[in-house]
Amino acid sequence: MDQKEGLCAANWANSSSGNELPQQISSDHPSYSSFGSQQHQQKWEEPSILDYGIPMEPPFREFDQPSKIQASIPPNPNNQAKILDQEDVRMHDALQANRIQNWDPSAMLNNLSFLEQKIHQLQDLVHLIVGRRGGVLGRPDELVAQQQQLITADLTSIIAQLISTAGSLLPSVKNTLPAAMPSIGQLSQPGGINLPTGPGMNGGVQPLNNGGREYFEQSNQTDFTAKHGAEQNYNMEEHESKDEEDAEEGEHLPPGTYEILQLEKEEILAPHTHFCAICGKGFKRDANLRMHMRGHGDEYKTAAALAKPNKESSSEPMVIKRYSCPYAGCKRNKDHKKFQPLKTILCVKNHYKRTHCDKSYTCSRCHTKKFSVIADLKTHEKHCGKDKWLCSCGTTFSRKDKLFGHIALFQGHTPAIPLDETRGSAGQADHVTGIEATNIVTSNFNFGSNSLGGNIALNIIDAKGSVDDPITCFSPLNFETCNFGGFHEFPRPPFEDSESSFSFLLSGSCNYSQKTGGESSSNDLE
Amino acid sequence: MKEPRTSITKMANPFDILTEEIILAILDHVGDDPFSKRSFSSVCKSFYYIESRHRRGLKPLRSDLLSRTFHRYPSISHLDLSLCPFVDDNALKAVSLAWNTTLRSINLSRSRAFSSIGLSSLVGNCVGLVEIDLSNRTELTDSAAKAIAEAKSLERLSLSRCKSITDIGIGCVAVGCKKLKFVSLRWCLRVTDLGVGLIAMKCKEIRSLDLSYLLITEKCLSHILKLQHLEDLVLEGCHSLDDEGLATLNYSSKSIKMINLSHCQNVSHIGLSSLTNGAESLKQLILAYGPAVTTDLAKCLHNFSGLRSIKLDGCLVRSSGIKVIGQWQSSLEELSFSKCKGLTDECLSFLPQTLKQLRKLDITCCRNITDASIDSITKSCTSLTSLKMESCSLVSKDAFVLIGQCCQLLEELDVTDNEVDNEGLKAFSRCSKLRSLKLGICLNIADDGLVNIGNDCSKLKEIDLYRCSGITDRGIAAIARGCPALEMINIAYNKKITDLSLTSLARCSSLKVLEIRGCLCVSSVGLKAIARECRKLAVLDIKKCFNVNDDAMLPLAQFSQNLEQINLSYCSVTDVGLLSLARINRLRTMTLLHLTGLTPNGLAAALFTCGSLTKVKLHTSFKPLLPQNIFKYMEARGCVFHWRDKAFQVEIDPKGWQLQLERRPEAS
Repeated sequence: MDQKEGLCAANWANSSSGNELPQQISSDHPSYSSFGSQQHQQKWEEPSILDYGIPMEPPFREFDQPSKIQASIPPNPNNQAKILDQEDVRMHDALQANRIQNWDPSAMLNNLSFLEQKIHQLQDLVHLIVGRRGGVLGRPDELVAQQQQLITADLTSIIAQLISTAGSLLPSVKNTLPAAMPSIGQLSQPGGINLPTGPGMNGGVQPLNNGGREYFEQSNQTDFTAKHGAEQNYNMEEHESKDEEDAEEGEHLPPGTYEILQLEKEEILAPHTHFCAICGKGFKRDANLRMHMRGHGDEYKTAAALAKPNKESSSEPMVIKRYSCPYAGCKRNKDHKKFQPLKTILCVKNHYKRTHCDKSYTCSRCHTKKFSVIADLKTHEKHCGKDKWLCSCGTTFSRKDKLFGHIALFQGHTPAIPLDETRGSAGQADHVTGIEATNIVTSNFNFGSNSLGGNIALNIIDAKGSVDDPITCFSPLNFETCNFGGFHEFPRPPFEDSESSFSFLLSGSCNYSQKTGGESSSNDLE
Repeated sequence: MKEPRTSITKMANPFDILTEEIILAILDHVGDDPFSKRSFSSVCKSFYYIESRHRRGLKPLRSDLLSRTFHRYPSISHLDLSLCPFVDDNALKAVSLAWNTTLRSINLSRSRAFSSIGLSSLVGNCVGLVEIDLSNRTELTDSAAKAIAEAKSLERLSLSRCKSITDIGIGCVAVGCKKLKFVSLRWCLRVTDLGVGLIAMKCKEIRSLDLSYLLITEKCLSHILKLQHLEDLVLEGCHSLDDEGLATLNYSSKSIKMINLSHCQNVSHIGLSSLTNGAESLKQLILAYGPAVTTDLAKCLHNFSGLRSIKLDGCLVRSSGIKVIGQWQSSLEELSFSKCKGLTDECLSFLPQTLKQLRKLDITCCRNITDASIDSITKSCTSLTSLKMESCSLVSKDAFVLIGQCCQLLEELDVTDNEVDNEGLKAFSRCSKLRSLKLGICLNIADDGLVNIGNDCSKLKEIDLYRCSGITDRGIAAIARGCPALEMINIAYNKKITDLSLTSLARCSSLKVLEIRGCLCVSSVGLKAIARECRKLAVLDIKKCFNVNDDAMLPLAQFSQNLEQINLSYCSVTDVGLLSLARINRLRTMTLLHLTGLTPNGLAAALFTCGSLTKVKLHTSFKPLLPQNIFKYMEARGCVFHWRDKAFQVEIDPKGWQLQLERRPEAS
């Protein structure tokens, strides 16, 4: 039973990787209108991973982890997309919009053809596995698992490249790449850990479903933090940088051109905003309420009743609504001299909780950071412990520049040196693995499993850290020596961010090879 | 006979009548010369005692002997360990305990084997530490920087080439050492804008900042330019600096005096003008290998009336640009066009009218200039003290006569590879202040010219006669007789030089550097005379002096105790000579290629004996023949081996120098 499932899975992976991916890459989606703005592109970039990931089935089941993370990071600006399909469309739009601006067609072509090549190789590999399947029927599950890992890893690396390729089109590579790359690391990291422990193929489907559902819920929960700004990707974790305020900074609506609404404190703090007129049950979302209403009778099951109520009203000219904070003296209060209105009710809620309420949620890991918005806590908990930039006062930062800003601000605070003072030697070790990894990639694609993203990162760190001669450091030679045919144009993240984000990524890929690399490489493709 | 002696011994030391204050005052005037201090302390016990208490600076040869000096010299404030390749944490700890109250400055730029632990005890015990030089310590990490950060009174810090130190370490230093004034972060490749920006924000006292070859941008420069006391800013090879970024700088430093933008390929006159905007006190500008010298560049520096020195080495020069420089309000004292492309007579003709004050001029390898330029230079720049014009091949011999006649204040003159002849040298002899004269590859000069130099330039300290094929012993003898202060002489590849030259040079007792490479007629006899008389000799190159053998090595080993560097390649020296040389306890560098008389055992014995070696150049064939444990042993002592695989060259002129040189007169 197990093996049968596995066979299916392999086929699946084969077909999905062999056919779908190239299509998505090579066709340029000219038919999609571009309604995504710049911000959308950045935000939707990560969800794209999981959109690809989910249909790809068992090998990608580990994506449920990153999907949670990703979904919570990129907020939906329009507060609408709640259905996966919509997101899919939008993602394509984003990709499409990406291509429109600032793209180097030849580089792109290079990347795409390389991807195509890789996918073909993978296809051959899967064919091989399928072909041998009859012979190995009696073999233990271990082998099946290993082969799946192999494919998983290869697919991961393809996806990593695809994302990077897309990322290269974005106007500011500086922001997007570091944001995108860690996600790759996250993709590959859990892969190695989950797979071997997975209870065969039967169990394999289950987590996927969970993952899908979880993602769905998560996006529902989090997309209300609707805001713009690319820095959002980073800043969620530092709640002091109140996102709604950042976003408003650019907006200068002349007073009087919009309607000011002010909710009362109780309203703001009420857990539910939508109540069932029949049974009184409260809901956070109108959509959930409408779903609930179906249970109260057939009249609520019609398409009209289930449809979004404000769909029709959107055609009418809308009065711009802005919100005021009920807290007197607050800058967001309408009586303030320099009043800056809040854009949505959600902004009001988050603003009020963050600014005027106690921070009652404590991080269960570090027991120091406190939050008043639970979503903030969740975002923090995902990063907690991974913050590598540490101040002598005990505060941790996920970004080096934030740490230095903090130190510049306070007297007597110094950067703290991480306990493992081995970063230099670690860099050298990475260097070695980097070379090994590239060798593997170029040799026969056997174990490109260390993911291409990882290689790039290694190259970069390499160039930055362990190369003694500055001339080679600056020259592109360095990249070329560890390169993969025709992939010279591959986007290189800027130095500054690379270190922070990539060492994180590195740890991911290292883990992976530790867990799985040993056994599977000995096995190889014999 | 016996009586007077006993009376002398009974009599108190005649120097006892001098009070300690007087002796200390004498010592103050003795200066830094180690030889005079040594002789002073060997006068008598009390002198020895007082000198050892008076001594402030120490430059030990070996770190293993360091512990003996703790007691002898109790008040050392400046410790230079650059001759000790091996200094470990324990040594640093001992140093810090011995001189905990007095130590102000320590140089560890050539020492290995210590870590942050040693630094931490050093900094912890020596509270008054003001200066630390940790250059070249590539293995030091952020924890070392953190240890340094505890030195609260630190003013000078050099971390050049500390490639493992990152922003975090620099951040610690910036927060800890608030009084820093002179900071060098050259080649600290892992330090970025963040670290540099923080150090500029936290250390407000900074005077001098070297950020060469860092990947920094204008982000940190904006903080640096806000420093109130900044005077020197070195931004050599900062490739990530560009015009666009520099244009965003809003601040200008009024105090800045020197800016070095060498090798900044992405900075043109636009970036330069944004950086120098408002820099009222700018005195020196170094733009070597940078932007082309155009009208725009010259115009943007037009208003710096205080500008005294500008270096444009290796830049592309446009005559229009030089024309504008000629109209500057400032009166330049130093101008360097070394290896400039496009420097012509026309360019230089624009300059001298306004450059009456010029002291130093460098036109090395400006091959387009002719007599016309020299004519205008000599007319206007009569107060030149330094002129470097190597390989100005179009300048005729008459021009050099003019130089000698007009620029009599010259102290430094480099006419290597030029057409200068005896008449020129005769004219040069008018420059009675001449300290350094370089005449390498000047084929037209002969003994008569050197006799003139020897007669009149008594202050000469350096003379370079490399491949001057016309000179003989007579010329050298004249130099040796007339220039008693001579410290450096190069007479390499002169076939006519014999032992007589060396015996006459032996009277220059302050000779430190002697290069007689390829002087085939020189033998051990001449070298013996040098060894006996020139006790300060530090550098000796006798490569391809085939006649020099062990006879010369024994007196060298006996008398030249200050020898630091020797090249013995191709000589007839054997194991015996080398072993005796190994006794010289200052010997640091040896080059031993193609010594036919040398056996592996003899070499190994010499290497083991010579405790102060830091660099040995050997032929690859010795590698398998030496006992293998010697490499580990030498490495632990801090010695580095350089292996060469050159073939044995019997002929003295393998590259056909002589042929080239003989052809040249025909060509011209």
